Amino acid sequence: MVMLPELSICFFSIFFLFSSIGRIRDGLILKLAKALSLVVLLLTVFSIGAKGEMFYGAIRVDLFSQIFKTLIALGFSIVILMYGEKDEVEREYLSEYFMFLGFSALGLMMLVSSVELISIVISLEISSYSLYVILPLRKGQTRIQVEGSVKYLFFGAVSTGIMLFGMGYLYGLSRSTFLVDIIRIFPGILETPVGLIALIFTLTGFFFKLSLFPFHFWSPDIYEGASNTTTTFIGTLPKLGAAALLLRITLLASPGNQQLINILIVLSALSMTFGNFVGLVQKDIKRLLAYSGIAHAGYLLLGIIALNREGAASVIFYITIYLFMNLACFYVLILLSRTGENITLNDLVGLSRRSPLLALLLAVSAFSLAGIPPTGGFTGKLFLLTSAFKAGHLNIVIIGAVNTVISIFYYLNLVRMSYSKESSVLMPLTLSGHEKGLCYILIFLILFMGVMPFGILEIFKFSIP
Amino acid sequence: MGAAEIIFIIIALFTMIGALMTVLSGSLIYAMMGLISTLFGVAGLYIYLNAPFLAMMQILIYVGAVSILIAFAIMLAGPFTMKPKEWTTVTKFIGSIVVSVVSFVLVFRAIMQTPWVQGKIKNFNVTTKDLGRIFLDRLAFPFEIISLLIVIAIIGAIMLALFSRRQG
Repeated sequence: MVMLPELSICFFSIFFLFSSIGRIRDGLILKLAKALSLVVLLLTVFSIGAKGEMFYGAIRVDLFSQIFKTLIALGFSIVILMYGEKDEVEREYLSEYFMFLGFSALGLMMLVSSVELISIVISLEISSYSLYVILPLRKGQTRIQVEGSVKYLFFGAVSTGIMLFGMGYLYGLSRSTFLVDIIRIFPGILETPVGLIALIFTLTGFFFKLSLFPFHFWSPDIYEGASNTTTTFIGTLPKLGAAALLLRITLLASPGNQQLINILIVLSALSMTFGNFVGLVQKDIKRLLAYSGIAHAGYLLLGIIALNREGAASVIFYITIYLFMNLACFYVLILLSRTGENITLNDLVGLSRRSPLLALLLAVSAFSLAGIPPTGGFTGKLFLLTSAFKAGHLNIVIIGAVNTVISIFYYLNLVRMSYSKESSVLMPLTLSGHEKGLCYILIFLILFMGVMPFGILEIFKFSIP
Repeated sequence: MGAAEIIFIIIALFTMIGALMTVLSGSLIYAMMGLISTLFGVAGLYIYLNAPFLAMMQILIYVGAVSILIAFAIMLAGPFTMKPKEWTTVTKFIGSIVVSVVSFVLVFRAIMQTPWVQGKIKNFNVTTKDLGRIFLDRLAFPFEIISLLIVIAIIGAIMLALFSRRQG
């Protein structure tokens, strides 16, 4: 049962395919989705020790892939547990919505264990197609939502095209689509101009998913246009898959390749600076988180620049804490919006009076996003910066540190707004038991990764192939 | 210059002119015609590369099925005879030309500077049997999950079509 996680989530999707044809009450669908997503999570955690190769080496199941699969399953089930009774998507399409969410997670799970170029592309496309489809399902169709969906579709298509163009060259140079064969000739071809172009173009598809600077245009519009739950999914899970594949591919390169490092450094610096400066002026919180995501993609590249195991481990650590703190931030938005509308900065006013727990959750996640101890965001950033520093890239470390300071302003602005007491009309926000539980779990995860990071980091370091 | 090279140049020109027509034409029908000629040109390139099966599939699937589907979509979408008022602006046009020329020069120079090794196989001849075999052993996994991708695309398309009808 090497592919238990994939099979379980495939079953999840097929179940909702059938339930979309049959007639099940809407309330029941939601409960079933929550229960089944927990089953998927359990089965994935259960198979974390699995090892093996399947389909003539096209799929490799190792600790690296299983850790990412567990994170994907965790994020997936948290996203579904977050889905409340707010009618964010059209009621009749609830089954299809969960089906496509499942397919998207399935694509990501297959992506992280694919070690063959064609499988990588197709898994990535399975994940993207499902997202293209569920984007317009938000209730109350508006222009911005359609614009966002179309933008995502076109940018996705173009970036896949560029990625395939680069992979074509990789195939031409190595005469094989299997990463095992490519790694043999890799140090040699990376010195040639075409080899570098092939690698950068191949990485473009994953840069797009990460919304790194020159490939970020879709992200603010998508975040604004898609419903809150869909945005939570798009803002967190595909980035896990992209980070996994970035690591798998860049670890093929030898640490001494200066040209590749220079390109990555420029992309990282531009992405951090752009994301943080534009983030400063945002009013819609989802747009703000989109720009924060662009900046965080830049931080993430810091670990990849080092091109060694330590850097790779810090990337996994950071993407994990990124998952938790974004889920936490989005959960506040989901619970705050009464009918699934977008939340602006002004809506946060008086949150600490309306619901102290939500204000605390927002504060913890904002502190973590900004990188303030004792949260996980601080330790994650620390690991990234030290790994880049040890590899001798002082300039990018300085840029990263300066950017962290800039970003503190707008993250703490969120906290300031939620703890200010100017508002006169205060509607207390009551949370149900499982909503409270989820809040506590997220707070715990963020703080735990901040306080006791070293054991987790060792596991991640051990898992690097 | 032998006959083979002349044929290659003709095919390549055919493909490129078709591609330019697709991008530059303001009318959707002309763009579609350009796309069809590009797809034909690519099929010609496949024959030139000694891959007749691929060329046949290209014509069958892309020229035969996909372009017909595009034609239907254009016809159903409404008045296609009218040129859209603002299909491009001067700045966009210049910008796109600059980007494509620069990227072409970059990639072209990189290809020219790379020492390409001569392949060992003298008679490159992949038969349909070889293709079938490789799809069922080495590349079995991508071959299988392509069907999943198609299922997702079909269900998604149907769902969105019903969805937009209800919205409208």
